[in-house]
Amino acid sequence: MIHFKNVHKVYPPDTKAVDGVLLHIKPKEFCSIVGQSGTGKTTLVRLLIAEERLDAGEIVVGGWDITDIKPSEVPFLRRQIGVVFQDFKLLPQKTAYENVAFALEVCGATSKRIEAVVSQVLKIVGLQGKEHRYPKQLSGGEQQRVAIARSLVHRPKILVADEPTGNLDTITSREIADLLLKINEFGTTVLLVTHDKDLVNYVKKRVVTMDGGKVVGDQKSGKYVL
Amino acid sequence: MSYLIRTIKFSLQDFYRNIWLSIVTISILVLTLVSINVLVAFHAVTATAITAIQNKVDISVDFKPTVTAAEINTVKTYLLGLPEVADIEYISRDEALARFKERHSANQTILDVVSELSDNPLGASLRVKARNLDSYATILSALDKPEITPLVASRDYYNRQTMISKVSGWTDTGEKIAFVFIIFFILISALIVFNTIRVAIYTHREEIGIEKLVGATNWFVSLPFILESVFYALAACLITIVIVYPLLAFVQPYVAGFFGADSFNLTDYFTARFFMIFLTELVVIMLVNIVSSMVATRKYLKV
Repeated sequence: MIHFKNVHKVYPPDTKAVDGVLLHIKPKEFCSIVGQSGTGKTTLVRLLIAEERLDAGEIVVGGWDITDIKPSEVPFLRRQIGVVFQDFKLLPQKTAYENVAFALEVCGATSKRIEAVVSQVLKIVGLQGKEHRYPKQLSGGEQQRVAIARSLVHRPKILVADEPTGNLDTITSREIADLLLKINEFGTTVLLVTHDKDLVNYVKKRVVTMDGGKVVGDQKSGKYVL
Repeated sequence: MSYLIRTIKFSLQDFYRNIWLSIVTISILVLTLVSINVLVAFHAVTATAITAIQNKVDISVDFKPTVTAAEINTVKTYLLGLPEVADIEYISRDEALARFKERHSANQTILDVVSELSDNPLGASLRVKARNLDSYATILSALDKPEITPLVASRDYYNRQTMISKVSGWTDTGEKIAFVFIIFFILISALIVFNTIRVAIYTHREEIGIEKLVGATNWFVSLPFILESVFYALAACLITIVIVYPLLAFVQPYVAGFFGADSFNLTDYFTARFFMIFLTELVVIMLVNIVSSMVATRKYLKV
């Protein structure tokens, strides 16, 4: 599903954020990418969603070589990759429903489709009855669920969660992990980028460890080891 | 359709969310459009004034009383053969006397003197109209022929030419100054719109980030801002119309006073050319705004 082939990314003047990463993530796989801060995990995510351009190497997503992706093609790539972040990135003046619907509105979906899809994804993430609450009326875990629901509206083949539990307590983090596992069971490839040891150990899925921009460990069903 | 409605909705949100900035932007655009309309009005008034003066311009060739009608007719035929001549009016000696009496009907002394004269002291004359102002010099030089000069008592032309030159000079200078102002205002408008869109992008940076994250096309992200600049142009044009008509009504008495009998109505002039004037202005200001906002979105949205 995702191929990183000897990927390099250097930030000026000479910071090697990603240094020759070779990684293959299979379809429907759940893969945790772990490592301490500044090891290149987030850069890898940014390269994957074409927010950054790689300096060398090749990235292939679902058979699509995005190494030299055109700016006009980026939106279509992003509809295939759902992304959630630590800071949720929700619009405070919109309700949970509106935040999720917004992702479809800006892509030109019809009102009928928006209604059907948004209700469905909010149900998947367990937010029925809280659709009309504003972000500030929701807990951190619920806000992250809204963000996950929003990332699912395009029925992406890949879901990338970049430090999704960074702002959450242990119990809520596990709830989010359960939700990610549930989404993975539905057939979505999940890429969990984190430095939360408990979360990775709880998930018990493939663990790719990064250090200094390189992949230094890859366990099929491992634990967070540094 | 829903795509378009949403784009319009987002543009209007931008418009209202930065309402004070929108008001300032529209004010500058209105100032630009009003100044353009002042130039249009100025041009209309001066063009009408010049036409009015041009219509009054002719070369009046007064013949000596001794010159016969046949001789005058020969001169008339010669002049009509010149390509520069548009028309010639022949005024006979009797007609000239009648016009003289009518002109001085209020002055009994003059009338008494004329009636005491045994013979008509006035000669016949020709009123020559040229096709355009530049042709008068050619016609005047044509009258300098040795066969014609002895027949002519006097010629009248130069005073009006000076007047026309003066009016044309004022008009040209006035239009040049107004044109510089308009270019200046258009440049200011372009910069203001650019800045307004820049601020709107800054205000919406959160939404824009999310739009891009969830796969909105670059066109969808930038279109609301371009549409917003179109709304500015539309609003400015409507406000300009609301301002210009009372202004025209206000200056109309002064214009009417200037033209006197050759009445000229500025409001009618604008009404007759309403679509030509305001549609052109709308298109121009819209193009300026679109270009300006496109530059701003390209620069600050990184699309």
